Amino acid sequence: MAADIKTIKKIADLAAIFIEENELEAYAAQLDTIINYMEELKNLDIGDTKPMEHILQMNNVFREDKVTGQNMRNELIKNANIAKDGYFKVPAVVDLL
Amino acid sequence: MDYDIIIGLEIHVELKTSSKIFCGCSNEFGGEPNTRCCPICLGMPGTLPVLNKKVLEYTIKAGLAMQCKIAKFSKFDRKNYFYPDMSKAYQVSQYDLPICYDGYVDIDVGDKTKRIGIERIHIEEDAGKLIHDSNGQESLIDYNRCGVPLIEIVTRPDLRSPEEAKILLETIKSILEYTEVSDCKMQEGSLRADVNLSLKRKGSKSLGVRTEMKNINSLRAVQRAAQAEAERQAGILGSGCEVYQETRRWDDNKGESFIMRGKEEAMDYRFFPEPDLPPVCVDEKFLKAIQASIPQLPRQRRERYVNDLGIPRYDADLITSNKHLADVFERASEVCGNPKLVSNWIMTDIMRRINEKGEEILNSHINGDNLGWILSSMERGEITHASAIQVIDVLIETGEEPGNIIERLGLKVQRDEALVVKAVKEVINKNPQALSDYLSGKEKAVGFLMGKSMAALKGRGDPIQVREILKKELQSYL
Ligand SMILES: [Zn+2]
Repeated sequence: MAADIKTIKKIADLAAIFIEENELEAYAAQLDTIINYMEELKNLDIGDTKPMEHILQMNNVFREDKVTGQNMRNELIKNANIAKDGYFKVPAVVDLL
Repeated sequence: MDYDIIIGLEIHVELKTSSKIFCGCSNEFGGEPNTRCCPICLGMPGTLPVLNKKVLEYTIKAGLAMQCKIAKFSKFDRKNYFYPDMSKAYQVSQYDLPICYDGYVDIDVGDKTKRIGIERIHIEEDAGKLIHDSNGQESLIDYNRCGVPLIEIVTRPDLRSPEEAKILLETIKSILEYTEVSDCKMQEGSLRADVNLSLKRKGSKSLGVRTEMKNINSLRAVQRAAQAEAERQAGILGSGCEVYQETRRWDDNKGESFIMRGKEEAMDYRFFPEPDLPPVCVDEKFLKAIQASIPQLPRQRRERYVNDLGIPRYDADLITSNKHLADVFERASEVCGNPKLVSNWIMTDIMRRINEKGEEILNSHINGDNLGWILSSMERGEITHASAIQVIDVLIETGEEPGNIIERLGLKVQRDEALVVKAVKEVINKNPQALSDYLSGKEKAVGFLMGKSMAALKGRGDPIQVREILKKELQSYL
């Protein structure tokens, strides 16, 4: 199996998603199917098709270096659950760096 | 047991653009919390980032100045992590196709030159700042720095001592200042380094386990952190234990580092291509224009000063350590045509003033044009050495045009022969003791009378002319 229960647990953990113990097996099976499907691609003759590095078929979209933003703190803070003195407030976190 | 120290650096540099990397928010340092951010830098749903063209230019400029190859095709990737300094839960960075790669920087270690490889330079965005409440209950977040353009410079593990690490960082800092892509204010965090270090038993082929120390923000701290880490690892290996692969935090006040996370907790960032930002393709024309904008870098300038202008190496080192100073030196040398004179003045008079008043005097009042003008007036004998110093004093104080200062204070050298002869005669008459000393063969008396004569001319006599006239007058008594 390409994806087992352990893999599902790890992915769920990384994505910060909670999965019930009894759902793990079903997810593992589904993910396994997907990965195996990708494996099939390996058997295809793709000739000299170039690898696709990016899904967008365009490039070089830029903006000029101009300051157009202005203070919109009140509007931004409005969306937060808790704020204090103009800061967003969250439960204590340890430094990650 | 003997070990070789193997060090590589990862250097984060904030670019000095006006606006942020993907939105029009101001990139200025500071500001009231959360007043310089918008839905784009906070990653609100439905927003679309657009790359600031200047960020691309500056990154390529830095890369070219470090002899990098520039990728013809480059893209952005998301580095996923959950931490409130980034409200999007990912940082836009570059994973497998960085914009610059395979370069090098030459550093001077003692009297040797050493080449340090630059593995890559990529673009990314900075994160916000967390303030931890003292009671440990809550954390406050300021997203003003979120979306500030950064480049990360990754060196090859070519450094062999803590001193070399410091010299490399110093050298890269000055390259970034010369190319004007960053102000490199380490105290504001616009230049910070991670130190990767391992020990290798001398003569052995296999590398040791390496540790990483994060976010060191002074040149001195880089050297100290590397030194302490090398000693820590040597202690562990010396007692027969093994070094663990881990991320550590350097505490410069305590002079030691602490473990942040081990290998097991190593981050798994699950990079994937950023779907909101199209790739970047760089063509020759764009590259050439950027190449043309790169000024001569400190090492090349220093060599030119030493070899072509005859400036002592020590002086050339000091002058080129600061781009403003080097620019002032070059322009002043052009204006007055005597680089050695300019360098002497910079090393003494100007350096003293910079130490007293700060570097800002170079940008405000003193520049290459007026310094060169003052020194050439002195060389032509229009003002004395003492007057030149006085003019610079007033210039720094008021910014007044040097020609005006000379006029207003009457500093022009007095060359009217009749006037000088009259003054000298009076001095001799008023000092009969000195005259009789002279007549009895005491040469010292000439110096005394010379001083009196210059004073009588209010310091504005031409010393050569005054001395000549004084000697002639004295000889007439013989
Ligand atoms: Zn913004």
